[in-house]
Amino acid sequence: MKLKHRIFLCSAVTQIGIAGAAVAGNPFSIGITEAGGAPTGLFGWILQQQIVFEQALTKEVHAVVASPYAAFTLAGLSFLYGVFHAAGPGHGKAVIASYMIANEQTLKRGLILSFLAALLQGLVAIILVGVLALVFHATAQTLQATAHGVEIMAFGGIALLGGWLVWKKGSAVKQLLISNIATVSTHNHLHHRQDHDDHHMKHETLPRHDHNHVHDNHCGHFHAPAPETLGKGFTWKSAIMTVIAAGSRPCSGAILVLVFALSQGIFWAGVTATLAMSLGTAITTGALAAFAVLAKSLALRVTDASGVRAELVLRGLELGAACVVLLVGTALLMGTIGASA
Amino acid sequence: MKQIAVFLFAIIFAGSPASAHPHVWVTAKAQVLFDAQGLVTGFRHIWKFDEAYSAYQVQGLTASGEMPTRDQMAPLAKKTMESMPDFKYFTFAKVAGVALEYAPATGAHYDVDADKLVTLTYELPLIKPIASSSVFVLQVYDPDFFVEFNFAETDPITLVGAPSGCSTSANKPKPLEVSEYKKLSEAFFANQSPGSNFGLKLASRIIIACP
Repeated sequence: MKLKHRIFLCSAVTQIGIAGAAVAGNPFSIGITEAGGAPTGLFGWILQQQIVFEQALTKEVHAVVASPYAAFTLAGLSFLYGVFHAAGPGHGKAVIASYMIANEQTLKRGLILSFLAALLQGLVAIILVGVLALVFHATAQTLQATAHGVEIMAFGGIALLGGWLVWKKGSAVKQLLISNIATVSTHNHLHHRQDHDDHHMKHETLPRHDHNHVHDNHCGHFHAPAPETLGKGFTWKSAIMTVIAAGSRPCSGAILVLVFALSQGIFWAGVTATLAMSLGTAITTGALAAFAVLAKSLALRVTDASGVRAELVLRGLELGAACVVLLVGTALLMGTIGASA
Repeated sequence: MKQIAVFLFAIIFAGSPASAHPHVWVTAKAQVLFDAQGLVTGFRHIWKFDEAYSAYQVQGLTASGEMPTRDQMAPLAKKTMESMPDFKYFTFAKVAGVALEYAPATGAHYDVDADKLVTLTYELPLIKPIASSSVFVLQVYDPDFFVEFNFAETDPITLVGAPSGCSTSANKPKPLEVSEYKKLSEAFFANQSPGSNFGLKLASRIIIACP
């Protein structure tokens, strides 16, 4: 069962790389790798909605040319497009969710990170098209090359974040294992040297062992993890890294709407549409982040383990999620560089 | 347990097998080219792009308000055609189940029409011309589904220099049905990649037959 899942996971990650390679090199690519949804059940439906909304956006930009009030409709459509676009699988979402499992415990912070990542994604598209097309009158080829460069940096950022998380979570697991082995060996050592009656008292005085111990009849003991150690792990540095890794890659839909709005002489309408799209994206990624946090706490509850085992499961889960971020980042980076070479 | 986390990842990554949702729409017309001996020598593709992608393609090429000429779009046409062979020109032609091979495309150029829509035209020669008497099937699609190709409603196919009696017919794709979604779902969980044939599922089949 586990092996099957692992194989599945590996192939999923590999396929992201392959898909990236294929679409990035597409003659009609706009420089951004798109991972869409397979046409299966729910994803097929989501895919259909995206198609409908993206085509409606172009029509609505025309309507704004005729009447600025149509911008409200455009914003509404863009918002829905954002919701559906984000509901299709994508790397940004994978990073956010994996990061949530690796690092986060609180729902609130998960939602804030999702929102910031989505906002950044919109801003990158606006700045890209605004600076290159509006100010410098850059051509499609320049836009494409720049978007591609931004994407490579974003994928590099995901790989870096993953590497950093693996290092951090890996050393946490290592520390946990070492401290437990150390405890057991120290304990046995004491056992041989001292007699039973003496042990407990002596034990208390050892500086290493100043945390909670549960002693059974055989004097074996477990470290019960202090609740606060399970909730920590949040740093602004890692949060900002996550927002940048998940959000610095603009989406093709936003770039196309911005360029089209510009061609119609209403760049502001494109900006409105892009920001509304970001809001929609934030709703979906936020829900996914919430799901990740809940799944993690559920996973811990279901294991029904306490003490060292619970902490090992938790740290193992976090390390696994960190590995996923690293793998996704690496696969995307290789796929994209491979395609452009 | 871990399975839940794995399930979560599965959901996140589910659609990743090579399928994007389309950002570019093409209305295609194809000409089948015959030589004097009545052999099929290749195709001429005429692909008209959607409004938003057309705006993207002409961006920055001219002062605002003006549409670029064929010459001004030549560098872009060159760029487009560079990666086209990697995608087999999105052209999938078969005779008796055997895929036809193409020589490098020629004469590629972009034009902009009065509606500001961009059209790409190019010729795709067959490495080996085929006898016109063989029935063959032509499909144009993007397996990654980044580009959605649809054959034009009127005159999707023209035969140029064909012997008399040749005919064409276009079979429109059926919309994916619920049962098909289910089948694809099963393929997905069996770790295949159903996404990769989505472009194909929605592609028209053009059948060309000569006496």
